[in-house]
Amino acid sequence: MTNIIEHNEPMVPHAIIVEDEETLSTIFRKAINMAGYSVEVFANGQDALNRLEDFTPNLLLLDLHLPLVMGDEIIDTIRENPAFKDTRIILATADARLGSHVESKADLVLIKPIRFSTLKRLAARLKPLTLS
Amino acid sequence: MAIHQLLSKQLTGLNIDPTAPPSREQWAQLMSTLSETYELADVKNQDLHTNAQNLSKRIETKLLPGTDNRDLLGTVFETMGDGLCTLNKDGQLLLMNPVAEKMLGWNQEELSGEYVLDAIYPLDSGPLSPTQKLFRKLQRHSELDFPEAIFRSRKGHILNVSFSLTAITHRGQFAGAVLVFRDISAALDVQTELTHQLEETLLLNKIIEALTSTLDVNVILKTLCTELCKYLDLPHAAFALVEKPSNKMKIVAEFIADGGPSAMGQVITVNDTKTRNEVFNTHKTLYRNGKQELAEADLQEFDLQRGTISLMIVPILVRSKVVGTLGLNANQPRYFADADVDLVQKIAAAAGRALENAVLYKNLKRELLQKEKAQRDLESARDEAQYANTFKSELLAKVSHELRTPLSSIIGFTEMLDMGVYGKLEGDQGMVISQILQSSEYLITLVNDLLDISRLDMGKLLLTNVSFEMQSLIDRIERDMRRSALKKGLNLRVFLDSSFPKILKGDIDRLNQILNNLIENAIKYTDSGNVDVAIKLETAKSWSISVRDTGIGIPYEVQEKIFDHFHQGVIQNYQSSKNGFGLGLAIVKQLVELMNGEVTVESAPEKGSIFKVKFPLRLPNVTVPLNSDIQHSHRVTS
Repeated sequence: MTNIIEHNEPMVPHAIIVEDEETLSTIFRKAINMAGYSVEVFANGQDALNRLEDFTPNLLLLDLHLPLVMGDEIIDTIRENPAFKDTRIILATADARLGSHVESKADLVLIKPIRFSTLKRLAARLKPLTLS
Repeated sequence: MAIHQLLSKQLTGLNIDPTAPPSREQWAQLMSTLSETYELADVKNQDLHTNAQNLSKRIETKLLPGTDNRDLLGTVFETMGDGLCTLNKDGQLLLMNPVAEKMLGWNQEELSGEYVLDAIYPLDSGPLSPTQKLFRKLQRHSELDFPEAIFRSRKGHILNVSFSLTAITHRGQFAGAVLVFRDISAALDVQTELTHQLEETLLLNKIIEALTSTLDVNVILKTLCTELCKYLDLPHAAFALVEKPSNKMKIVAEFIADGGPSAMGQVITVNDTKTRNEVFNTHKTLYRNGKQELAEADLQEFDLQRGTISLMIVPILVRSKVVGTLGLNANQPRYFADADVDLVQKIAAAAGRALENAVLYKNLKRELLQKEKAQRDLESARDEAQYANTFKSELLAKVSHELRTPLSSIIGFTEMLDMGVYGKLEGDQGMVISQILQSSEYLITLVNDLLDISRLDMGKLLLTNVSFEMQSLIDRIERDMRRSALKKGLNLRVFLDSSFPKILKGDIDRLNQILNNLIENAIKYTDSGNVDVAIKLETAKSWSISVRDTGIGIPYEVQEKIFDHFHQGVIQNYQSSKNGFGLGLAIVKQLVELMNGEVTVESAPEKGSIFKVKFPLRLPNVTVPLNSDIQHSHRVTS
């Protein structure tokens, strides 16, 4: 479900959202889009990994619990690859205050429910300077 | 050489004609000569003395096995305790000594010339008379010994004797015989008594074995019946035990040797029979022997059926109370010797002890069973409670987790509406949407609390232990709480000791949660005044945070329960139903304890409360410069 939307300006930063809950991905997409990114949404980990093989996003918003491939596996894959050194990762988890070793590999850990305004604000702050 | 042979030699030496009866004078002369000869021989002739001693031993062995080794020869001559008869070659009596007269009941005159052996020795000798048979044998062997034999006295009494016959030869010809005999009833009595004692010992052994090998009292009683009957050679024995609460007894064990009617299970009414009634009243053993002593009224139906003529009833006593009887009966007249009665009483006493033990054992077993059951009930109740608790916690965790996703959507979309993402809001729409958001946020708090409680209950909540700046904790508290304090017009003041370490180790998120809960509570129950938070060192190894308010306080009677889950129901006046499940303080207590700390409350109604949490002081090993923005804003909860 590669679906690039609202990609109007040539220098717009790109974000990938991996979230299996459709209502949430709708909210995330809107927030990140309003923060100034073009957004692609994937509903499972495998599709996201496939896409990441030939594409390097500026921002990756990941749910921890995903079908097929879990969020922590995606983070591990990306963090081992120098090509993604500039990709910022936001980890979204429903497990409030549950420690996880992948947390340290993410730039931000957001606990669900994630406030629309918070996500929008933080995503905007993570935009690469050269592009903003 | 046996004494009989010596005697016959002496008789031969005296040159008495054995064919002619000697006069009394001659007999007396003979005896005195014998005595003198032996005494003389005893003193002067060592060989003869030795010989005599050997003889004495032999005689003793033959006549009286088992008695002590005294000089029998001496005894013989002193007392002439043995019966002595001389017989002619045909076996007719020539002489008999006074002992023989006394033992046999005839005097010499009466038996003189009679075949004395035929008269006193009841021998089934076929066509020959006893005398003929014995004398034929004697002519071949010259000496006959009978260690155990029976003579019959004149009155028909049985005499247990040991006797010997020694041939008398006169000039090489068989001329007659000397009969020497001795009453051995006493020895036999001793032997009988020994046998009796042995049997009694064996019986008691069997009984002890029965008593110790089983605690089944009916088995014991049955064994006692059987062994007693065998020992006393009786056809019936039975135990009857009192049935509570009436005065009836039931037969619980019996032995029947002759296939007579069984009385097992039959009920005896104590008052109905004279004999049993008497035993119950006197606590003493009773026995009746024969029809003249035993009336029908003394007997039970089964006694009559068996044809009981002799009866012994022994009370069975437990702690001086008659709990039953042991009955022995015979359908022939039966004399019970004192020793028998004594033995039966001993056995009845043993039965009493067995019964008492059985009752004690039964009680003990019942107690043990009750205890075991109570233990099992307790364990199963505990297991059920544990299961229920685990189930509850897991359910809570699952439910609250599942609630988060739809809540996320609700909040997210509502916020988008609020921000005008879907168009401008009109009229009261903004107010309604902010109400939805507020309620949703409250829902999130509840869900978080539930999740925390379930994790704490399951022991699944893990703490982090990282360095953090105390100031950043204070910043968070102020950020989170100042607004709601101001809303109620309260002063939220935070005091930090100047000497307090700048950096601590611990779980800053959980500390923040603890403080938020305490401060939220303080604000909630305070209408005017201050909420003061004081952070200070308690000792070199501990620090504390206290939250003091000037609110309504907590009633004394509920101060203990206030940290329980869902305590709100108990303290309705204290906690308004507007906010809070009553989980906040329960979470605080469990979190504090998880951090090895303690939480206390001091409160006076209408004056306010002080909640104080105390923690062990944990400092970082190396002082690391911290950038609180990066380190502590890492996790964001909205």
